[in-house]
Amino acid sequence: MTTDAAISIQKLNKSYQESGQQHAVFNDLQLDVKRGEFIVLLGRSGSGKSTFLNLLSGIDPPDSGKVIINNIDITGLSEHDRTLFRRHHIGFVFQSYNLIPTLTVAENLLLPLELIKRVSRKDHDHVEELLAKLKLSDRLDSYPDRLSGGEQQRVAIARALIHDPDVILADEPTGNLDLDTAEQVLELLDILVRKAGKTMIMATHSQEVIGKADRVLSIHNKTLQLR
Amino acid sequence: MSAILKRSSRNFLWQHPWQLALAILGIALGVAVVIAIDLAMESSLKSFNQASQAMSGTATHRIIASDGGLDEKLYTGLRVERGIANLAPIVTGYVKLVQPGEDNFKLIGIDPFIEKSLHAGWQNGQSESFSRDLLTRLLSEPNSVLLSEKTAQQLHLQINDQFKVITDQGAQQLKLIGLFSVNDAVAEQISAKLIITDIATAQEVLGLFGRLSSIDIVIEPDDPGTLAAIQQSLPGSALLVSIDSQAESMREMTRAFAINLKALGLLSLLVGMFLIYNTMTFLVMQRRRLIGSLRLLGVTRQQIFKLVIGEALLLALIGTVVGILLGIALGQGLLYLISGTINAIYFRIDAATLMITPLQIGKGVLLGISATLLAVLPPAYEATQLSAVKVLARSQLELGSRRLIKTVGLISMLLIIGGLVTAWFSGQSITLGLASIFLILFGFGLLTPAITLLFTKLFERVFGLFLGILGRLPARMVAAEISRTGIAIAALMIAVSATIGMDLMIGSFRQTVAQWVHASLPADLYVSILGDKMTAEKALSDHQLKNEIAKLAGVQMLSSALHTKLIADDQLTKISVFELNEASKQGFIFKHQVADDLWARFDNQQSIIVTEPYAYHHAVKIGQKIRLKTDQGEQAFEVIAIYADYSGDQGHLAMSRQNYQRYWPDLGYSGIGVYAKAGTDLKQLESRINQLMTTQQTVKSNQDIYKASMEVFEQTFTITETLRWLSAAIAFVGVFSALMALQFERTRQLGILRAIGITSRQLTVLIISETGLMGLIAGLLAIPVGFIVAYVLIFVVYQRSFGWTMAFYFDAGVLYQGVALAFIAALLAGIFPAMKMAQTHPAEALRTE
Amino acid sequence: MKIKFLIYGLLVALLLVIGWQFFMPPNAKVEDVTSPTAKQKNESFSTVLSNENEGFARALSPREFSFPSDHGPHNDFRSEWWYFTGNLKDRQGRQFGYELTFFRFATKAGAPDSKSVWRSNQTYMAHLTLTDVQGNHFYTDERFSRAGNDLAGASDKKYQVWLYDWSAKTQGETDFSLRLQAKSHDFAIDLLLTSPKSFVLQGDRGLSQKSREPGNASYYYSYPRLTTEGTVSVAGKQFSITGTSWMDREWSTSALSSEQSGWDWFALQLSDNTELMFYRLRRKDGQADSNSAGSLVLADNAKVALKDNDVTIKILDSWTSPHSKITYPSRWRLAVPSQGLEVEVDPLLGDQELNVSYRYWEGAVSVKGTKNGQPISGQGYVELAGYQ
Repeated sequence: MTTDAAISIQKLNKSYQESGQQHAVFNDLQLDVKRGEFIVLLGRSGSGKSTFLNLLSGIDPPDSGKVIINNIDITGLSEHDRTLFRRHHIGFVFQSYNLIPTLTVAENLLLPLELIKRVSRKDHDHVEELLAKLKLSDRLDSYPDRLSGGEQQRVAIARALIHDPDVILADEPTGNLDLDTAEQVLELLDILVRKAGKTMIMATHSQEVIGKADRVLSIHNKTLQLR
Repeated sequence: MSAILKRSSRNFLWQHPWQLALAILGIALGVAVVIAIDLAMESSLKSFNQASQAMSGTATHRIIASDGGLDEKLYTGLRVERGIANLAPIVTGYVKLVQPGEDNFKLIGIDPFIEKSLHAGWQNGQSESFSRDLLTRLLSEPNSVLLSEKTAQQLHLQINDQFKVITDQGAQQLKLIGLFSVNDAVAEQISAKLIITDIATAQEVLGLFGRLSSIDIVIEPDDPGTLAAIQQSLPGSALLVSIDSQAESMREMTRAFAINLKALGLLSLLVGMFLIYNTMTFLVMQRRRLIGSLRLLGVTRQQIFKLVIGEALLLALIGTVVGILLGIALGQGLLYLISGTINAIYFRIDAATLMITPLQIGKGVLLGISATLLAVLPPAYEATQLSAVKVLARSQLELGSRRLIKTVGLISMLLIIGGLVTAWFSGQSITLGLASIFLILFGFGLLTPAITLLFTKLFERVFGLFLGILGRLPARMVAAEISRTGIAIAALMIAVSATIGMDLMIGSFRQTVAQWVHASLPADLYVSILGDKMTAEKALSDHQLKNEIAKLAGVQMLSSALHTKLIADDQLTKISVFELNEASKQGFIFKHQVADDLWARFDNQQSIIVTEPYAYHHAVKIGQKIRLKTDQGEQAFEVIAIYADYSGDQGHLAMSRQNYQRYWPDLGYSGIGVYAKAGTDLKQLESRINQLMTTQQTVKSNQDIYKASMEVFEQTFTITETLRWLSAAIAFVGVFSALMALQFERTRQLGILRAIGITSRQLTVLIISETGLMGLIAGLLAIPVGFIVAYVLIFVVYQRSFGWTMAFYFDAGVLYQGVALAFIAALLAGIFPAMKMAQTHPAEALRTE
Repeated sequence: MKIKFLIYGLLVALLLVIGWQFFMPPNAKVEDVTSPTAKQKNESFSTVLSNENEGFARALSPREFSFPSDHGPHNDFRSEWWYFTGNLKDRQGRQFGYELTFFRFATKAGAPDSKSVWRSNQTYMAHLTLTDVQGNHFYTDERFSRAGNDLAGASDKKYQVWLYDWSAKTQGETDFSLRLQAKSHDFAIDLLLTSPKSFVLQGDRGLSQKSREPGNASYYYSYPRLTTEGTVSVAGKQFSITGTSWMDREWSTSALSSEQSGWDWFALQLSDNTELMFYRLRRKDGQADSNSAGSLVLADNAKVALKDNDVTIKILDSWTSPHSKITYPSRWRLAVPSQGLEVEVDPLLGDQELNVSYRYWEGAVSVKGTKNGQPISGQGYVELAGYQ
């Protein structure tokens, strides 16, 4: 099945087993996201935002239903293939940055590249370029924990974009940041992602983002609703 | 401390059962090995002491003699002429039961009519009527014997049943006329292989006519007159010793052996301590947030400290109890090994039983708990330093530990230098020699994190060059958590270097002994003559045998040796009495240049040669005189040479047969060397000699003796090998537990890697590469350290413990094996955590923290 | 809660592990305190004297005595003894009594054939007592040994009998003087015995019938008066003494019959240089035993044989041993009407009970009375055997 949509979610069901009881998170969830679309996902803590993103990236498999990204049904893939799919097509931005602490800033950016190809001199230049753009040129060889939260999140954004994925998934990217920094990070995401024409789904409860989004959805009654 | 506070930490503990179990295992194994060695060693000695005490009973002193035994008239002289009371004449020997099991029993011949105040241990608890009637029967009925109730039961013997035993005199029929009961477990064990009979029966059955094995004596402490009177009447072949001093000298004899064993036990505990440290650090690290929150709530540093120490104590208690139980079980196993070794090289222990004393258990408890507390102090302190406000990032902690590593580097250099200096100046002290090894090992252990950092840099460069960032990651991960990985590597390194060191030492020793055994077997065939040297006919029949062998066709010449004991410095001292020919003189390896007239002097002058261990232990130098007790008073023998001998660690003397026969009675031979004419069929000659011999005599080719000797050598190192593998096993558990903890701590980081597209297979490779790298570093480091350990063992500890010098034989195989051992152990230890991590769902991994 | 229980459980386990040692029966040697009962001691005594006698020689008829060989052992007979008792005094008049006896028992008939000198069918036992009248103390000791390896024995070449360092040995070519030497832990004797009076053969020319059955008899001779001098030591103090001893030599295979329970034996040395020996056999049924007999040795060594009904003995007192709880007679009026003799025999000490392997009472006595109306005094020894 081919669709125009960058992401197509069909009849997605997901539930958790908790203390012996089946606990449904999503019921027959449907969503189509257009290429280049920026979707903001609102919802209270524990409403299933992270689960939704994990389902999209293939980290978590659904109980039933389909997740089609770039015409590939990732729910039909093995765990191994889902991982390979993820390394090519998905960029992740987490609330707590989640940089690899044992790698330098530059290495953190190079790692996704290395996973998909032989890294060349050009790639190194590309990394430096990108970091320059993020005003992090002097932090190239620093380890993540020497950086401030804002700086770390900027690196994380760069890491999400460096290997040119189709979809960026951002899970509360500003959740750990103060207002000003959050503003800067959002700005950056908006510019970089939009400019590159990437599709982005951002889970957040920050109201400021809403204005920048193409669509704002919220999880309600185990399914998505337009706001 | 509030119950809630405790619960907050306990709940956490329960959530990590694996770590908990491993920590307990660490304490348990460490304590178990130490306790087991202690128990087995002490029990062996105590069994010996109690066995001799059960024989001596209330005796305070004993007259003993060399192999010839005591003249029974000595006893009459003491009793009748000197009027000395409280003497017990004893004739002992070993007999073999024909049925069932062919067990060796000790036959003890007593005089039932001596004073009641002097009774043997087995006589305790027997009623007077038992003593009167049975002992009278024992005296009047030839070949009547007593057994313990239990032994009779085991042998299915009823009173008045007959049973057969084999002795030097052939088969003998004995009649069970009575049973004695024993009232405690020790006596029961001792009496299990005991046959009590009258002294006349003992002489008849064993063929020891005219001789006594020993005379037990009770001398009141306030009675030096009796002591002096006895001393005066003793002939040159007899020696009066106090029972206590005899026990003491047995202990002294095995002291070096015991210390070496205990050092191995401590090594295990040291590695076990690492396990405890590791687990407690993990538990503290994992709870940074929890502890931070508690601090925020107003929990004081002291409370946090108490909390951690309290947990450690709980673990220590469980671990120690498990360790003690394990140690008792292990001790049972080690007991056979240890008493076997003592049997082989020191003295005969008839029945070793594991004897557990509260003192030893207490020692184990103390050791387990204090080792745990020591190991837990650093993490407990660390826990108190956790700030209430900001939870320190892991890397910042690591930064702190990196600074620490530099300081530690300095300390470790001091330790190593201190160790080498100690080794150099340890003098005669074995303890100091072993302490130096511990210092060196500990020093290098502390240095390991620093060296590991250097190694990881190197590996990172090399692998990064070919494999990019992913290739750099293993080395990075090792370096990043150096406070954990460094100590795991250090523990592995210590275990492996101890292994390498001991392997090199044993190898060198083996090589040295092999060369020595080879050199000292110049004859073609060796006849060994067993049998009790006390029996009067032995010397005669030995001479007869020698004459007959000499007459055989194909025999060119003979040599002979008699291994017996003489009294030097009021101590029974082993001596070999040689009758040498030109060929057999080549069998001596002298530790110095010898003059051409050495053998002439050996044969014709009142001279003696001594073995290297004897010279070492008694600080004997060439030219010195050794005074030996003879029936004609003391005689001085000049030491004219020192020669290599690895047959025992106490050393012995050697003199020519001419010299010996001038002063001491003929006891026949212990062995005869047969030199065949060129071209003689040795197999044929062997069978011809065989035809001349009785059951007590055997003939073996020099090859067979060589093989048998090397087997004995291997056997004596069984215990060392066993203990070494035990400590290696503990090290493995330690590394395993460390890696488990490490991987668990990085669950989230691994989750991110998975999230950004690293496959689970890549993750497995990554983790195994990391652990393999750790193993490799440990292995590489262990090579030089192992070398130093071997060096100290060979040239300091063994030489001082046992008086042996040996050449250092380098065996590259040992090094490869060492590195491989470390590498494979670490690799194996990494497999389980790697698989566990790879299987962990990234979604869940991301959720942690 | 669970954890608390676990900790307590472990603590208890730990305590048990440490504590089980303490609750175990102690390894320490328990001294053998089970001393034989009175019954055992007394039974042993009579069994020794009436046992299976297969292969042993019997005392059936009078024999020729020949010395010194008859001072030596008669190994064909089951039992034999050399009995020395005496009353001694130091210069200050301090009184002592002593007994040194060597017993020989054959455990089996026939000398064994063995290359071991320890193999012997002859067993010796010796008793040594010293009665310290002033110190009110009775010292005893005993020894056992086989004859093997020259640990004990007797010679038929000259008078010599010994057990370890206790001995009675002639001091020259003649049988007397005889030196007795024996020391125990806290007392000792060293005496020289000379013989102013010769020996006397008891019974019928030395055959002393003990019960009706033929062979239940011993060969028995006595030296009733031996002048004694030497030293005795008590508790570290030595006393030079003089006095008079009595020696009995007796060997037999069986003596008592099964109805007999024991005897009271009197050996009295009277001030008129005569000596009285009398043994009164007791029957288990309490009746008098007609085999009781004795002799009176006159100053000129002539012997007057005494039959059962020649002597009357009246028990005047009794003494109960605090050690064995056995009651012994303890003062007697002994009369030999045919000789006009009537004396009272009084123990120097009540407690002269030998609590050794074979229990009996043997003690020094003083004698006072009249002979033919004239006052007479004396001393002697009394043996009370077989009391229960």
